[in-house]
Amino acid sequence: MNVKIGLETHVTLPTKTKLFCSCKKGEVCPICMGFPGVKPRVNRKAVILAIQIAKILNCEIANTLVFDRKSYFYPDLPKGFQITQYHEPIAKNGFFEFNFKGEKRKVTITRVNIEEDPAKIIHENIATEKSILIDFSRSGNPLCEIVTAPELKSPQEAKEYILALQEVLDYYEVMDTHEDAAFRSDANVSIENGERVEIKNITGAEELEKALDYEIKRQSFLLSLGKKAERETRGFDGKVTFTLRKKEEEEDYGYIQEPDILPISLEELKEEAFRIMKRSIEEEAERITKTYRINLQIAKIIVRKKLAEYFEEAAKYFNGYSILSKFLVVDFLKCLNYSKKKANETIKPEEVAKLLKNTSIREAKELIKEMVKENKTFEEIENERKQKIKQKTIEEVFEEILKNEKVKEAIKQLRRGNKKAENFIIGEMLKQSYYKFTVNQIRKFLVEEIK
Amino acid sequence: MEDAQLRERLEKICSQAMLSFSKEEFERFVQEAKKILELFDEIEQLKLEEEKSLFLHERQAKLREDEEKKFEWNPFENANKELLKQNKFIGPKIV
Amino acid sequence: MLKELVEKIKSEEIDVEELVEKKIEEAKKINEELNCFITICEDYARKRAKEVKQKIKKGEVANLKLVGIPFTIKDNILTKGIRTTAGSKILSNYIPPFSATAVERIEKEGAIIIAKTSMDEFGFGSFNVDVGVGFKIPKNPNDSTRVCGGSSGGSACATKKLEIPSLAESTGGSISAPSSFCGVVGLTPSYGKVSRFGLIDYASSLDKIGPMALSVEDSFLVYDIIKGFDENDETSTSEERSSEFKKKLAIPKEAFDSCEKEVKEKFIDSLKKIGWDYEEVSIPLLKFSIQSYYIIAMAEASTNLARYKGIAFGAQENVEGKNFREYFTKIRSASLGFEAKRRILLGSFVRSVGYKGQYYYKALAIRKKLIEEIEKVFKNFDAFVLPAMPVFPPKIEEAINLSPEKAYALDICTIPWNLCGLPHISIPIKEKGYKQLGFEVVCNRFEEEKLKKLSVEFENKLK
Repeated sequence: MNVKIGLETHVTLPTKTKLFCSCKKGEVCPICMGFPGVKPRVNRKAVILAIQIAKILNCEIANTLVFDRKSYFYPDLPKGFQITQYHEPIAKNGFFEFNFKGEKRKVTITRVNIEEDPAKIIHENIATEKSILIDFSRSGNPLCEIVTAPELKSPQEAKEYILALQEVLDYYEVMDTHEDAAFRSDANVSIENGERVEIKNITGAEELEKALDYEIKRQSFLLSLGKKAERETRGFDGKVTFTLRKKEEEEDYGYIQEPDILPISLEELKEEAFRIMKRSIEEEAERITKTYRINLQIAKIIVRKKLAEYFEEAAKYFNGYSILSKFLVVDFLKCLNYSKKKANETIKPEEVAKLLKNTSIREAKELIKEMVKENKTFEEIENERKQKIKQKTIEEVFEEILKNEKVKEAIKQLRRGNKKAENFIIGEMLKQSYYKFTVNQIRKFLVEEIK
Repeated sequence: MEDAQLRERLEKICSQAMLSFSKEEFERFVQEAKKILELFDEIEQLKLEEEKSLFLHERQAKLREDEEKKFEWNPFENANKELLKQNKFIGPKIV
Repeated sequence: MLKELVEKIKSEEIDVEELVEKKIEEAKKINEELNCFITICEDYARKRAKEVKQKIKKGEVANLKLVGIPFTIKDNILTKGIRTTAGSKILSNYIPPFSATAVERIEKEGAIIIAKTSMDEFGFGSFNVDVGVGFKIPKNPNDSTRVCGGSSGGSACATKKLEIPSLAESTGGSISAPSSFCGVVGLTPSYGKVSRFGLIDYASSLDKIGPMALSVEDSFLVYDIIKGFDENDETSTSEERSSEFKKKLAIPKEAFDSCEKEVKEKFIDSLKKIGWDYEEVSIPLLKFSIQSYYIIAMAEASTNLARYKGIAFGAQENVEGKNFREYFTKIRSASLGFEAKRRILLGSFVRSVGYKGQYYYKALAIRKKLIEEIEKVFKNFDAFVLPAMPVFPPKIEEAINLSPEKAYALDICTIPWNLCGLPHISIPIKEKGYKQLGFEVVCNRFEEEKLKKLSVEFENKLK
């Protein structure tokens, strides 16, 4: 089935103050509440961040900064118009690459623009049955809108796009990652070259996939009945999409250039934005690959997942760089995700290095779980183990080493009379018990066991 | 412009601008609007290309630095005390 | 005049509290008859007078230039703690939590606000007859059956009768028109010279705050205090320009021709008294400045007034159970006057899909071209001179019954300069009775210095 999905994603920029006033985010003043007589003042940092986002998305960046007024009436829009960029967005004609099902995908970014966030409407808790509340603390927050061409071909792909986009924007620190910071998408979806339907205000990647899944099913169903989906705007409540506005009711936003903001040249700002930008993922990855002679793809993951600093610190204490890199990217990362921690919120890199230096990979994979979850140093974990071991009987130790396939095989061999196998098993017992038992004790035990 | 077409368009605009008229007032409005639009339509004779930019030259406005500055105001000093008592609005706290 | 008065107040020859008390009484009296005030803030004024008096006693006023001067402020300029309505019912109980920058600047110099003056609702009018729902039309101080002119009608009336300055506002001529009709000096600075922060917006690219006073010197005194860049308004600037004197004045033919015969005669008499070289200059595009202005102004006004819908400030009602469209429509329709509704609707119309090109974008093109044409004239002339209004003050009934498109056309003497952001001043030609006329002088953008020189000289000669 021919599916076309285009996404308009809104990202909150990580500035201290709002887009057009000097309020801290979360506070209000007459300007972001749209009181009579106020005038907007553009936040310089927001513009720089937007330029950086445009660069990340490989866009052509405009020479002049201009804003427009988008007029419509809604309770969450205090001034009755939103200051946005319609005619001359800050950037256009870029692209974004990401991996989907092992393949590289490239999506065209048609435009990137800066705009202000409307207020938030609260339906539950404090609002009564008969009325809603409007929360202005979000009103005026700086948003960057990223619009793709309708080139995504499935809900899963759209989800991967969003996750990849989030990761990259997070890496470059051009996105506000607080809990209440916006990452909302509007999706345009059509099937079999039919009318496109817009679904508004979907938060996050999971919701997006669900919403698109549902909508495509809905449109297919209509098609199967011989009907066509109407061109309209719908909402998503977590389970189903529903009509918000039909095409005839669509607003004419009557865009005019924002007269309270003078257009300014972006040359200087572009220079500064590029200069202070974090080094690109590719460059960082290449540097790490060269310095440590590890696999480039793994290096890229290390950089993307913000583990570069951690890796380099650990590498000071353990020079099995290849092993270290793989371990971080597979096991360490898994533990972080599981414990919902960031790399700087758990054990120090030195501990991972010690772990890898002093234990086998198999053991390291086991021990790292507890180390990360409980923030235990390698010494602590080792001591605990030793304590446990000290209390173990020879039978218990034997049980433990039986988990190893090689040991099982060696026992079979021993039963057949292979003496070399015995040595191997004894070796394993010694290691596992921290040399608690003597070789003779172990031999005696084994002789009994084999019977 | 045709009467019916204009009327329809004006009705739609009224509804989008959140304004309503009584029947008589709307009549008066439409009649007067026609005359005003006739005045406006005189510009058709001018051979000028459309201009999309409101501004005629770039002035180097300095953008605002991203520094917090509390707006000096007391939002509730002159607020509607009745509504405030009835808890019809809350703040300035984050809800 | 203001300078001398300030000196007398500083030296305590005149007691500031007595002066303010006197003006408050006068204000109340003339308001009964002429309806020129929406609010007389007597408590505030008395408090301020006390403050200023203490400052005088402490000797802290040496460098302040408006010590103790009572002021009236047009009611679309925000004054903290004093009700500000913009002449509209939708703000009839609105008390701003902050003052406009221009107000702060004059108060810093010691000015004492005593009243907020009448105006056309949101500035929508040239005769001050399009007042908001429930508001009264101010009457001409020289003949109470006639209009004050608008939209700053109350300011001009108060300035004339109380003989104190006023801060007014012009979008299409709202300082010149009432100044002309009432017989006071009204200065409209270049767009951007005075911060618009705290000015209730009509048309953001056209609004300007300017002073009204009884003499050119006084008006520039006030202007010097309120002018200059304000970080709260990005469009404000401190730029000043000068050009050499050509010793020649231009009469804009298309505007002059629209004036009544007697107006033309009176104007030419004055021009001759001034004795400068003058020439009639034709700018055919000038005629279309009316359309261009109204299209742009209405388009912007329709967006600026979208915030008045009963949320967070202004007129409010019980929302419960209502759908937001219902609620907004009810509040707006009940609280906005007919002219306001008209401008919002036509403003939305001219920027709507399908019509934007032929109206809004065309209007912008006209403005751009007109600026170029006028620039050419300034190469050979120092200023435009013409009557500030093409007619004498009409009777109130006449003005009310004027059809809108005819009323709009009567702005021809002020709109071209307002559209292009040029500084201009209206100087009253001495006259008794209602046939007041302003002698209007228009200079090039940011050339307020030159405008001052010319108007001081002309004022003298017109005495």
